[in-house]
Amino acid sequence: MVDSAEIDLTRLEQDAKLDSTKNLLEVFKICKTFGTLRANHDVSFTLKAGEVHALLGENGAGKSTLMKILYGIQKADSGSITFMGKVVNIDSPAIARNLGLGMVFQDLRLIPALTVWENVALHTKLGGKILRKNNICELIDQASQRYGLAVDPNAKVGDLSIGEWQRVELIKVLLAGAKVLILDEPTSVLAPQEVDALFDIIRRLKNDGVGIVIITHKLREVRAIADRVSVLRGGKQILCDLPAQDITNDDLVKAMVGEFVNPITNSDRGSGSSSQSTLVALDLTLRAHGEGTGLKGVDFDVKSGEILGIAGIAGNGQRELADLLTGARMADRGDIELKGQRLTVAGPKHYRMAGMLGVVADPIREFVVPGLTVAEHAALWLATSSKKLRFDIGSATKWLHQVADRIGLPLAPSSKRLDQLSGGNIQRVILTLAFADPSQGLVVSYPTRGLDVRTAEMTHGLLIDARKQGTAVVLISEDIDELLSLSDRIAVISHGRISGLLEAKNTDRLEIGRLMTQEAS
Amino acid sequence: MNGIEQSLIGGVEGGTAILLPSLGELIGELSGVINLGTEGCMLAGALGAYAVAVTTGSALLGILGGIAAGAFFGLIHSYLSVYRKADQLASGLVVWFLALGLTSVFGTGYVNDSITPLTIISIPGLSKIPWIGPILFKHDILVYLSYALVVALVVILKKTRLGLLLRATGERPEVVGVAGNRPALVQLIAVTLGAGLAGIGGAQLSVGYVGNWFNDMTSGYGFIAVAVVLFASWKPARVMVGAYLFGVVLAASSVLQAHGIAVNQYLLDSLPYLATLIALIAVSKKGGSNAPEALTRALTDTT
Ligand SMILES: Nc1ncnc2c1ncn2[C@@H]1O[C@H](COP(=O)(O)OP(=O)(O)OP(=O)(O)O)[C@@H](O)[C@H]1O
Ligand SMILES: [Mg+2]
Repeated sequence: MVDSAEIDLTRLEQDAKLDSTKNLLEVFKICKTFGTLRANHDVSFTLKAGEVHALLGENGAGKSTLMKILYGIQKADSGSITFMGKVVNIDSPAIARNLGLGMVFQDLRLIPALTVWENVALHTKLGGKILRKNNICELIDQASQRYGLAVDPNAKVGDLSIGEWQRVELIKVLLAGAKVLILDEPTSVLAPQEVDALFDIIRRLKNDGVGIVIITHKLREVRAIADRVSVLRGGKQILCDLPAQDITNDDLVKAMVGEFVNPITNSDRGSGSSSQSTLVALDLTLRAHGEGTGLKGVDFDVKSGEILGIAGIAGNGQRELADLLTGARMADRGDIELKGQRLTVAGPKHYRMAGMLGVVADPIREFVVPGLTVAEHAALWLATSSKKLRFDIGSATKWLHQVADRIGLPLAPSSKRLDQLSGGNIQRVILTLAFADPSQGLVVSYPTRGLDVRTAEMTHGLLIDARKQGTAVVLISEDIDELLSLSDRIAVISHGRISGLLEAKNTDRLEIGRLMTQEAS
Repeated sequence: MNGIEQSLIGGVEGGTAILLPSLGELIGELSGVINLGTEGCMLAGALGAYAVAVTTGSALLGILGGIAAGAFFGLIHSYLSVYRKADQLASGLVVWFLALGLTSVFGTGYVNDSITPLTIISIPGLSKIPWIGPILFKHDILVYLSYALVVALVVILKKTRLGLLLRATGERPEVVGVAGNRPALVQLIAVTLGAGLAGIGGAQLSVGYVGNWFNDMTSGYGFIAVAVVLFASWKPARVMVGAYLFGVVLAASSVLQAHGIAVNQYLLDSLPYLATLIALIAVSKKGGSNAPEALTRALTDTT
């Protein structure tokens, strides 16, 4: 299947000539190199009006680069772009916008210090030279009602959650009025029901004749929304413009990573863990402030060598729980014990020294220090659990290389700035650090966010390994399938309370879903 | 007229020579570029204005010379730091040294010249208000210009697309680029314009308040201006208050001296800097500063 789909370029050329009237956008043989790295090598695809075209590929395959070229942020070395039958030269975002291209970036592009309406005004030219605020706010309200994207135009963007950022981005791009909409991994920061809402919007835009390019790592989403697919691997084109129904999931994965990827599951769920509780949370209570429900008396225990999954709809206390378990915030009431040692007596450093590690939920805000390199982040990470004053980047680099070889997740060069990496590459750095050494306790939030299929499965493998080594793992995720296949037990959280504690092998999506939506009693 | 009133009048008069460069620096910093060369731009403005005033006999035309001279050095700074991606602090200091040197060389010929300084305009009615009148409404034209500038800046920043573009550029230039604008150009214009205002500030000294030219005559006003912007957390109205505060401290020291009160001159000279230090501590204690996120950061290639 994959081999026969190797593209025949002469045929493609003819096709392009034949239906250049029907195609909204034709991207032809784009090449782009960064130094010696070939990010795009003869990449082509077409987009029709009213079509959803999924662009797939591993982390670093060159998807975002291709989209940035389309939007005029990066310049292709060679190749051509045809828009509505005319060859166009997209040298700057201004040109792309005038043509009717809209883009939601993987790393969202909003200004935190400004309000929602100011961000929208900046992007859309709405409201005239003298900004008519009421006018803009009304347009935002209309759009948010029409598309079901709830936002407060007067809120400061810096105070909003990532899900809300995504909504503001969408409103901004929709109000600018696009004929072609490019969505670069729009779902990686969204909760499942937010994804459904996004897909409703995409379907509505489709009916309006907008052409949509969507980048995602999730096959389920390809099935739900895509009409055609194109696949890149290492900058090269593997599949071009293939109708989505013509390819099976297995073949798609094979096209993306070049081999078949076995889903990794926890084969001996619910057995093998010791009977002794390693991590104990007692009556954890945190007042709600900002978004989220806070926590209202959460108790649980995790045994050594056990994975406790936390299921729930985003904003029901998961963030608060992760923060408390890693010491990022202090509980109003309650205790956390690790191996009989009370953690709730001091700050995050104490938690780390006691053997509690975490993978944060929102890397950009909670982990990435703008301007610092990958190696410097590794040094920072080591410094948190060390009493030494010296901040040794040289040895941190060496250590990171050793660890990366052992863990096996491919990392970006350690001299690169972390804030300039793609979401998937940032996540790999965080995971590599967290799994570097066996720990007593591990709190992992959304571990596979932004990761491609293969890396996601490798990460699942790392979680299973940690479990085997006797770590007490708390796995927070909104992906119920992921929770079911990895956890020994699953605690469902709803409105800041544990609404049910289930044996993973004796439960199913339905039961978990019911508990997730259970009203507070 | 008592000493306090004298200090206040002098505070507004001399404070204007701090206010104008501060407003200029504010515009530049809001776009993301700090200009430590503000002192140099002021010096250039002072000499430029004085030279034109001597040559043409008109202090008003001199102001234009001041704008041009200040803006010229601002253009150098913004070209170096925005388009050549030089370090902003280094580039600013270079501009200061350059202006200091050049004004000393070209200024020697003007040291003994004399001019008719800007005329004092009393606003009819308003200047008759007891106390307030002489303090606020009996000054040269540049003082009134600075009042108008503060109001204009508040309105532009809050209410117009131009102001939004300026603020956005200082926060996240790459977002401004994505929205189809040119952040580098915004910065170039903002810095050059700001330096032009610093030039007027210099003119306020040479052809206004002092009415004379001598080497290094701005004696640190430009650096105080940079401090005032910080002191005011990047808010135009607070910049005005800050500039007058420094103006009053400076004026008070000369008033005290004139009254023969023995206060250590060096202590007086250090007062503005002491005030800056206290302001810094106060601002930092409040936690989250208001500084534009991209201040002093060079633009990346993808913007
Ligand atoms: N500005 C740049 N300078 C140098 N290298 C770059 C630059 N942008 C991207 N790259 C490199 O080009 C390759 C493709 O990157 P790109 O961001 O397009 O990948 P992607 O397919 O979007 O990956 P992901 O799924 O992680 O988002 C990567 O190896 C990346 O490190
Ligand atoms: Mg990408």
